[in-house]
Amino acid sequence: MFKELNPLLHSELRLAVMSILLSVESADFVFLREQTGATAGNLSVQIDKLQKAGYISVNKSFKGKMPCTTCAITETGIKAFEEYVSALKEYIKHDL
Amino acid sequence: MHQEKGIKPTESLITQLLQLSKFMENKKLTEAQSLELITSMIQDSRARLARNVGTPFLIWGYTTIAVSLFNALTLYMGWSYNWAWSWFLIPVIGWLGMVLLNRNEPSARNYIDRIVSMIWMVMGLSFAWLLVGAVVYGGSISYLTVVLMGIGTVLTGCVIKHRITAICGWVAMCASLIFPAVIYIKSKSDSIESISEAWIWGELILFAAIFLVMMVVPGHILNHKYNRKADNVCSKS
Repeated sequence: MFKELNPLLHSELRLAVMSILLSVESADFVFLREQTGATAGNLSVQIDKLQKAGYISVNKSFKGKMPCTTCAITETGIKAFEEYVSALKEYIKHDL
Repeated sequence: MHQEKGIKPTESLITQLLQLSKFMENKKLTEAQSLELITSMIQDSRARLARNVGTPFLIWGYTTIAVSLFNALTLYMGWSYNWAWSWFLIPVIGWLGMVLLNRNEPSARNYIDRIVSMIWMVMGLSFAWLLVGAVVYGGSISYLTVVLMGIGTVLTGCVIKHRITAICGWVAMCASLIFPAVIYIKSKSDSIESISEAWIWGELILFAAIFLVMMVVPGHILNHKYNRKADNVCSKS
């Protein structure tokens, strides 16, 4: 039996966000938007979903006079990502 | 913060992903696409973070060189000693440069950024204590300043795994020995007046030259290397 791929992570933009956050300690909204090439609205929605799942933490502050949203991956997020990757591995093994 | 706990598992996971992506290069599967997306995002982010990594070196290096040469000029020309207050332009210009560098720039921080920031924060604070001592007791702090900044440069080179930066730091620390050596020679032989006179402004020329090797050279090399790498990654993606 194959493990089911986590539907929350098996989406292009959410997976991109999680991948970026996996390689950094924290990243602001603009960085994520530029790296993923997503629109602000779509990215905002996906970040909200990931936050509600407890995969990322979101901190809202100000950079000078500009609002700044900073995201970071959580322990739960790392664990979910590891499970997602191990599920991917199963699929790859099967194709060998 | 919670992210700190996640650093080790994340690193091993990234390594696994990079290996898996190599395996999946010729597969046209949905899973392969997921993997490709993950690895490209990780590589792009890393390349993006490394962009302009040498610029802080350039800001502090060029500022220090300019102010040192200006002070050497004031001593050579015999202008008022009040011009020595211009040394305080270094933290002002340096700080403004750093603010301008980070302003409007989308930011992300990784573990290495944090370590390098901490190194230079400690070096900056140590220098502030050194400065207080110099103001209270007087005397030149060129030697200790170069040693301190040399340590910072060597540590930075080791953390970012850039051998040239570390070597430049070591070279600067070795060159710093010239300062006490000249003072020793002067104290042993007062008859060498030409050395004493030239050393008044020559010390600052040497100080500027050491900063050129310690900060400007690695700064340009780092920017050249990592900006080109970042451009290549961005053009591929």
